[in-house]
Amino acid sequence: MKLKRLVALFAFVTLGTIAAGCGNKKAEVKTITVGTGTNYRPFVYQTKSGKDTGYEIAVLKAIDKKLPQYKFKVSHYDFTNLFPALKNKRIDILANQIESNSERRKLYQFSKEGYTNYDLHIVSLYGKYHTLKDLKGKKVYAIPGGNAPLILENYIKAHPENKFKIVYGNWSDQLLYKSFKNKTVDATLGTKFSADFTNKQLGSHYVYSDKPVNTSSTYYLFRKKDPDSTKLNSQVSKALKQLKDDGTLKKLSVKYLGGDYTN
Amino acid sequence: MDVTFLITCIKVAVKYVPITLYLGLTSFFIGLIFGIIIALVRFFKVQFISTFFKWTISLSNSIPLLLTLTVFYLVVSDALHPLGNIVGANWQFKFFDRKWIAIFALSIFSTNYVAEAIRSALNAVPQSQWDAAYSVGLTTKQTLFGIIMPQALRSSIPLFGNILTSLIKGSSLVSAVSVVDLLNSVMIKAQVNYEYFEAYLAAAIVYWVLCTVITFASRFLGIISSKQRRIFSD
Repeated sequence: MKLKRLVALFAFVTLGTIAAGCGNKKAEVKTITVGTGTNYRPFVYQTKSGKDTGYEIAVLKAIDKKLPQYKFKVSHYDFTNLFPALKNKRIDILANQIESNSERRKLYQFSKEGYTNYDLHIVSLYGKYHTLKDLKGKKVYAIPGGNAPLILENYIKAHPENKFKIVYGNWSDQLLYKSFKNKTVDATLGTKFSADFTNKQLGSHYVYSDKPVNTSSTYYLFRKKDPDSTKLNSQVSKALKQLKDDGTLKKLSVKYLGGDYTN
Repeated sequence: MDVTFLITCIKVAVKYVPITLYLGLTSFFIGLIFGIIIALVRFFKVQFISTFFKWTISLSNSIPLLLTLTVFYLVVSDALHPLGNIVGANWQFKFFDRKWIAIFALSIFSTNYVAEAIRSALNAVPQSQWDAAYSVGLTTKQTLFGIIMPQALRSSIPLFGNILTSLIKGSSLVSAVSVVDLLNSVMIKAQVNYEYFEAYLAAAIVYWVLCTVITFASRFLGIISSKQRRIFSD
């Protein structure tokens, strides 16, 4: 009986602590927490001294400078944990090169301006693939996460006569390059700048198709049905527009992505 | 909480149950064959080989499954072609089914578990059974396969259920070698709208049902076999 009471007391105290922790919020400081990934080159990565750097971080800093009423604090999350973090107000902006589609727009507010061109090209070692039709019977690598798997699966559904095999994986750049060389995969969908970046880093010789198979842009994500979030979105989008117009964004893109990928 | 999407994810996950079962069951039966051999070697304390297996089991028991999978993937992708050259065949990694890497890594684990389970079951059969069998003139081989092994296997059935469920849970790591299984399939589905919570939950529900069924089945088998034994001994 005594033990029972002790357990009940313990449970009560624990619950109370949790409840108190949830209610403890400072209202006066207007710090905006931005959630982003951990290691996503060339967008977010750490320098040797451990400081955050990359295109994503640089753009966020530039926006922060335009908005004196806010102070941005960057917080790193695993990709799948970013979305619940935004919903549960642990972060206010989700910045991780998110592409738009109608399903996602139903759940989140997107910034009015896109900030990175995310046109997907067919990337391979020999460059004989120009359209998705050329991939017939080949093995196409895709990382679950972006728009690429969806594009590939929809294409197969619409054109079963040009069927190719999708190899899902979450490989490092080294492993992907190795798989290209031993022909485990023949092609993948990727952006021009990521192919350029990998070529520079690994000394690989990836080539991309001239025409993109999909045109897209990436956006910041905000909470839906939250007036504060809507206000933040309009301010951030305005600042982003200004950065685009005065050429700052272009400069950052050239510096981090090796070309102008801002349209 | 998006219930419609949760149900969609459950439907996707159910479609991939056969692949998860295939990975789990294949590696279980491979493990059963090698596990019994290793258990017997260790039970009879065969010189050298017994010590050898003792060390390999302790070695492979202490390496995480994910690590085994990744390392084996890297080794196979490099070594397959040269190995093929040695036996005069043109083996290429691009034709190699990555499922076999997953099955190999899982088999190592199931071999360990089965070997340990059967060894302890063999030890648990009382010495009097051996003495009784010898006293009516049976040889060691006859005693082992006619008297001891049936008892040891029977008492291991509930453990086998446990091993199978741990293999099924372990198979959720095969995305590391690009095999699309139950968990991976819902993750791919969730990328459309980033509703990962619903996807994980759907996978958890399907795993739970699957493993519950297996646990009940093994318990049922255990009860049936012990009943048979009673009839037999009457």
